[in-house]
Amino acid sequence: MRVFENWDTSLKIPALFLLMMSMALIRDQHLMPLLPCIAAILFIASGLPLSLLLSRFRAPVVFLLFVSAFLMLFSEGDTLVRFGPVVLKLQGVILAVNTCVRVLSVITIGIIMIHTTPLSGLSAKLKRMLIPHILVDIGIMTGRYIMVIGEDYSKMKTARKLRGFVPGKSIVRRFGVIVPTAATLLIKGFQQSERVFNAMRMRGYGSIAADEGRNDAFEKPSTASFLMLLLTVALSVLLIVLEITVETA
Amino acid sequence: MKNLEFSFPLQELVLKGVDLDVSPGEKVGIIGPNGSGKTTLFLLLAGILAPDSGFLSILDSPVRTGRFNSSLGFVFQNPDDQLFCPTVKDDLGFGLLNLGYSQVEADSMIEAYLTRLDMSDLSQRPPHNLSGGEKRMISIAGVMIMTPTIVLLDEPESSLDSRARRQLIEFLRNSSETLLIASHDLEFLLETCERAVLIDNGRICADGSSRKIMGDEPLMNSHGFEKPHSLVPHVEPHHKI
Repeated sequence: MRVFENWDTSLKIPALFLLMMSMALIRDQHLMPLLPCIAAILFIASGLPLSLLLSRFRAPVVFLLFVSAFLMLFSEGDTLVRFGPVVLKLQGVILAVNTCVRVLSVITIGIIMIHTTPLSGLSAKLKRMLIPHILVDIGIMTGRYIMVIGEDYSKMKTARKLRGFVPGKSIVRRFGVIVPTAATLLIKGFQQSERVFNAMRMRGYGSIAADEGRNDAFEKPSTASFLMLLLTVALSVLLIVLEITVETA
Repeated sequence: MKNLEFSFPLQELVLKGVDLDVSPGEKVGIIGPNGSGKTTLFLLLAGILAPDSGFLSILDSPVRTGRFNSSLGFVFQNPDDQLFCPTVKDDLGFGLLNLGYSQVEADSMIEAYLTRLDMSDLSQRPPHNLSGGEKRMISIAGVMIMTPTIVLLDEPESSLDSRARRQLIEFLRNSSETLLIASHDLEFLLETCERAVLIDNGRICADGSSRKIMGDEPLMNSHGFEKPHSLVPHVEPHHKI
């Protein structure tokens, strides 16, 4: 299914972002089951593989385990179960489950947003969303060159190992190597950023021709894109209305 | 350029009284040892650096530091400095959009260019996933697609395998732009440039036909170069004709 991939980026990103925000606002436990249902339906509609979702869940799940343990052990309220000195509180368990459901649902929507948005043309589309151009450029460049920095660091680590460096237990020795490595990467990054900026300028970035003479043939989003925007906004508003209604009831 | 001089802050002169005229359509090889001023010369021509003294012009217009000149293209030594967009297609389109082409026009030109290079399948690839040769060809394409009149290439053949190197030689030979190519690969320059300029210690030491300059063994040796193998007289012929 290519429902999300065909959805115009300049409408999809704000719509899904709004949905994520509205999901994050849900507190009432009666509405909680809605969140994973919505996330699951949207994930199936996206056509993305389950293995992708599970791989992206690894880091958040580890974090959530710690948060859940903290909530279950240190919340106030009735005791649910006791294992010797360890006491699990009922309210803590409910809070932990709600938090996990909410966080994983929001992350699922985020994964759908990122993995169904083609990189090509992303910069132009983000700028059309009235996001400041300089922020878009910084974001795109960061995404582009973070890999390069990662590869450089990896090569430096290999070079260190091949020259007999073993981290060992000494924190001082470790810092004595890591700090100069980080400094070198920072300087290299700065120097490369200057060269990249010169290369961009050489191809017209920031020129008067680029700013004024641009003949931007703005492709109007399709009717289907607008419909999906409306549906997503309606769903987000519904969630918020339900939350307010249940809260005030 | 006339009597061009340049030095970095608090350092000695890198270029000392350089005079150079290049005619439209010429392909000129710039040879020189490391630190001789080749890249600095290109940075001055591109308007990235300002000369200390002297005169620089391109197509009869003075070079203005910091100003974009659509008639000049510069291919940097490291392709990673030049491939800064998320995908190959975006990178090729970057310059075209800055020149005022619409997205539709740019897409059509990009498709035609990639087909010409037989690299259409790379269109959606992130640049960091390309091989060294692919990065080099795409970085050159990103400049050439803007149809500059003059192109500066700083060691374009570095880190290319023999197949990619041959592809690049054919591409440059068939291009109609005025080319200035800085390189240590003398055989590469012999195949692509009819004229060679030898720079050493910030001065032009020789300027003339590539075969004549590079065939002058005493001249080449005195500046730390060896005569290219293809210009060495052979007792037993073993080259393909």
